[in-house]
Amino acid sequence: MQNIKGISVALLSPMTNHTANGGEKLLGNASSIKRRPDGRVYISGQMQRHALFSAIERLNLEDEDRGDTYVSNGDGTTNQIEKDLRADMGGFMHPSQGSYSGRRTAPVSATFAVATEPSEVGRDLLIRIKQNTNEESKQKQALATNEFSQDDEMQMSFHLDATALSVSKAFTYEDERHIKTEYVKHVDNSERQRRARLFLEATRFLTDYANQARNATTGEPQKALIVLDTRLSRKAARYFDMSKAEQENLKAELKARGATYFFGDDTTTDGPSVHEAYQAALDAIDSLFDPTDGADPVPFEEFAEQADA
Amino acid sequence: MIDFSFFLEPPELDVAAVLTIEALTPLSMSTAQPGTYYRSQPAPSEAMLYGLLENALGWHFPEDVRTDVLKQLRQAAKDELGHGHPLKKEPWITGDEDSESASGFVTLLQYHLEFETAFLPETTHFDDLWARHARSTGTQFSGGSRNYNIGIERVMNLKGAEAINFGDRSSYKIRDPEKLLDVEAGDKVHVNALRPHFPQFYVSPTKREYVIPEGAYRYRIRTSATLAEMLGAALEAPAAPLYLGSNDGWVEARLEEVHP
Repeated sequence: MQNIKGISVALLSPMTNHTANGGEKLLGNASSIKRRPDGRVYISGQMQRHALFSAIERLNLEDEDRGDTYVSNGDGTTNQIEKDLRADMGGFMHPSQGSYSGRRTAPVSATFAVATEPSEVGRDLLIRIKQNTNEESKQKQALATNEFSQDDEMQMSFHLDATALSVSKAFTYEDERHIKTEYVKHVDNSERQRRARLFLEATRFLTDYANQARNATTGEPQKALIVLDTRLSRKAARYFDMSKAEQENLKAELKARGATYFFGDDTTTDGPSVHEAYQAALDAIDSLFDPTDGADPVPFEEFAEQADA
Repeated sequence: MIDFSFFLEPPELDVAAVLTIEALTPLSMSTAQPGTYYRSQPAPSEAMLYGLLENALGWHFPEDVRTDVLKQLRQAAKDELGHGHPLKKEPWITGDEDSESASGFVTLLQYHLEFETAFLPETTHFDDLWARHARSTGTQFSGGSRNYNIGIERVMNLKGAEAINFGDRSSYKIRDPEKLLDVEAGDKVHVNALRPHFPQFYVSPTKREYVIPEGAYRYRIRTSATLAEMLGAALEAPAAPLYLGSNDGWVEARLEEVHP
C-alpha cells in the first residue's frame, strides 16, 4: 500500500501466572499486581511503551541496515532524530533550552493492556534473602509475598502516526491570515519505512515486563489485527471488544476509505496465522505518507537552529 | 497552508452542533500542576476540548508562535473592520477576556466556538502507579536512577555497603566529579560530584488517576458557519491522532450540525 498515514495494531495475548506490571507494595513487602476496579489486571501504557522500545532496540541491533541508529535510554533521550530511534518515535522534552522549547510529540503511542475478563489473583510466598551477612547488620531475614494473576487474555493496542515519523514541523507567516506549515524530514524515505517496519515487528515480540518478577512473561500475540490506514484513526483499538456486527462495520469502514487490514489467529487453521498476518502486513508497506513531498533530509540540529519548532 | 479567515469574521455563532467524543481507553485528565498526586477530572476541561480540536486542525504552535499569531490576526481583523467600528471594542479584538488554561494554553478558537451544554457519562476511577520522570537540583536523583555511568560502579558498591555517604551539606567535601573515582570507605561525597555521572531524569513513583467513561462525552456547541465546516472536515481526517489528557488517552471525535 502507498502513502500510509497510520499503522494500528490491536492484539490479544495470553498471559499465565504473571505479574506483568506490579503495583504499589502493601504493608511494606507484599507486592501487588495492577488491577482495575472491575477486577481485571492491566499493564500501564508506560510499561507497554517500555516493552515496545526494548523490542525495537533488539530488532534494530539485528538489522544490517541499521547504520548508526540506536535506542537511547528512557531517562536520557537525545534530540537526534536521525540516529536515536527513541527520540524519533517516542518524542522528547528538553526543558529550558532558551527560546527553543525542544519538544517532540511521540509518533508512537500505546494503550493499557487490559485483561478481557475479571482476573483470578493469587499470592506467592517468597523468602527475601538477607544480603548483608555482616553480623552487625540490622537487616533481618524477611518473608515477602508476590501477587500473580492466573490466566488472562490481555488486549492491547499500538499506533504509529506515520505522517510524523522522522518529521518535524515549523510555521511561517505567509500573510495576515495564512500560516504556512513547513515539514522537514530528518532521514530519507527508505529509513522511515525501515522504522515503520521495526515498529510493527516489535509489537510481536513484547517480552520486557516487570523486571522484578523473575517469571518469564511474554506478550506475544495469539490474535492480531493490523491496519495500514489512510487516515489517523485508532478505532481498531477496540476490535476485540466489539460485537460481530460492529467488527463487520469497522472492516467495511476501513475498506471504504482505502485502508488495508490483516487479521491473524493462531487458534484456528482457517485463515492466516498471526505470523502470516504480520508477514503480509510488513510486505504491504510500500511507502509512507511524505508531508515534505520528497524533500531532502535535514539533520535535526540544523533544523532546530533556524526553526521555531 | 493554514487558513485563519474564520478569525477575521465577527463571532456570530449561528450554527449549533453536537461534538461527540468516544474514549477508546481509560483517560487521565489532570490539570496544570498536580503536585504529588495526578488526580483526573471526570470530564475534559474546556481547554482540553479546544486543544483536541486544534490538534485535529494541525495547529501545533509553540507558545511564542501562538501569541504572535493571535496578535497578527487581531490586527488584521481590526484593519478589516475599518475606522471607528464599534466591534473593535469587543473582547474578540481587544483580548481583554482571553482565557488561558493553567498550563498557559490560549486557544485561537475561544471567541468563535462556545460550549453550551455537556452530556457527561458516568465514570469509574482507579489509581495507577506511574514512574514519573523528574529533574531537580535536590539529592533524590541517585536513589531514583536505574542507570549510571559504568565508571562509578565501585563508588555505588561502597554506597550499597553503607561505607560512604552522599549528601549536600557543607561537610560533604568531595565535590569534584573527577575525584569521585578515588573515594574510599568513610568518605562523605557531595551530590554535585555524582550528578554528571547520572542520566537526565530520575524516577519518582507517583500516583496518577484514570477514569473509565461508561459512554461518550457529548457537547452542544455554538460556532460560526466557517469554523463548523473547518472542524467537520478536520475531524473527518485529523492532522494528528486525537488524545485527551495523556499519551495513552486515545479518543475518536465527530461533529454533527443540528438544524433546529
